[in-house]
Amino acid sequence: MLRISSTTLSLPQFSVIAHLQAFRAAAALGNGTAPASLTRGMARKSKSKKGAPTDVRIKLIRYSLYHPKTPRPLRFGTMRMLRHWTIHRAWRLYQTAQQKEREYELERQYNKMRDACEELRLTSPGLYERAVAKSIFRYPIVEFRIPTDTPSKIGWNHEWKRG
Amino acid sequence: MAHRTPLSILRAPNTHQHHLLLPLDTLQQQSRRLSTTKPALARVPPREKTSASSPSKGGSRTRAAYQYRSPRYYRGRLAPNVPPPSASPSSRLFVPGPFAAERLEDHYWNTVAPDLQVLSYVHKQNPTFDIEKDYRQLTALRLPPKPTRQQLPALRTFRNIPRLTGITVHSMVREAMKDSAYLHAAGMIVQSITGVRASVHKSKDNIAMWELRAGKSISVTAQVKGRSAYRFLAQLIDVVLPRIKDWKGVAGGSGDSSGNITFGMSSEAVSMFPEIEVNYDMYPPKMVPGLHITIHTSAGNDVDAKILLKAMGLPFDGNFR
Repeated sequence: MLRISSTTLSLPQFSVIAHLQAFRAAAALGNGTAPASLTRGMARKSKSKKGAPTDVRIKLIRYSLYHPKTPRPLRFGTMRMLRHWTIHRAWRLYQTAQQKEREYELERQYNKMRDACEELRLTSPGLYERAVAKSIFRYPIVEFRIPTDTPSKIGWNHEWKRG
Repeated sequence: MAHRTPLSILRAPNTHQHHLLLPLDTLQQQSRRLSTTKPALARVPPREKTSASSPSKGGSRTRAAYQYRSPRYYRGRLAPNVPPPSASPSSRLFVPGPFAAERLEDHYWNTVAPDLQVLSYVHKQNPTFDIEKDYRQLTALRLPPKPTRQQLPALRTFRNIPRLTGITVHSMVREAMKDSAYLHAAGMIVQSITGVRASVHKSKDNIAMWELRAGKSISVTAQVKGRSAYRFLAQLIDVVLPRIKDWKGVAGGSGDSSGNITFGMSSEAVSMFPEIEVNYDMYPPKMVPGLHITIHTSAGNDVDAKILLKAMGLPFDGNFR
């Protein structure tokens, strides 16, 4: 006959699952004592419900994901903070100037196109119609490689064919 | 697993201090002289003064006792403690960088944007506004077009050339219903690929056919914006997508009618990312998920978005729809 010993009920953290495991283990043993695996099972929270231990790699992933110092808070001294602020402002200034320059360049190109088309329209209507006609839409080229800082190892591929 | 080192254990390297601030015999003398009638604070034995502000002002501590941490949430304009701007190093959202210009971003501004401008240029003559005919056209434009999925071609000028605004990486993991380890692995993988901490989303509905229960953490997403989006897209185009076996390209009909293009990547394709490939065996088997990648553009319709991506080098399978 199964008996629950008084020590199990007085433990501070009562886990239903661990208690059930203890019952099943005690039933298997055939006596009424509470097995030591009950207390050990409670303390070791890594065991899943079926009893298989979680993978060490998952433990590592969880450790690094839930670490309180992720991301680590930066604490700068006064002079270090001033240096950061100066560099940040200079960088923002540079970025704004670069963005403006890029947008102005596109505007200049657009205006030149418009002026050229207008000039052609007023000069020769026939040529204008042929220039502006969009009978064939030309898509951009997919194979256009994004430029790199250094050239490729294999150089120009003379045997390349589309498809 | 995550632990905090208690401050009491932190010791300055050059001192030989014990846990107790005073030697044991002085404490015992103090305890005999401690009064029980005075308030509790007065019974604390006096310590030697240590500076909390700067290690240069003397004292045995090399680090200040109180470490400021900026508030996590903005509590409104009347709250005194305001989170600092995200560019400040004291902010929780601070990300250091940038450390280099991006190839694809420079390529876009140098080559792709002018090309798209030329390709989409339509010459408009000097407009003459006729109140009878043209006013009705203006009123028609104010209402949304019918049917709802109809996408009108936009008038392109130098102000509205399509550009890349952001990329969303999303992974829904069905096995996370039963075991949260799958979601942790997915979150770690998404974080490795994008460089951004993934956010978790919970399921909303109970659908028995798919064994879906509401309120369970089931998917992770990460949003990449600005320069990092160009970096991620360039990595996809140059490194990851060419390695996928028998990949024909993004579907020609993809798009949400607002200029956002989505395609999926299988688990094998995700393994082709250099960040995953280098430590592939640090993930348990079958825990590397597939992803959906959504590329957000500023083009108002799908075709212009796909033309932009084609100009950047993303291959498509089938005609544009």
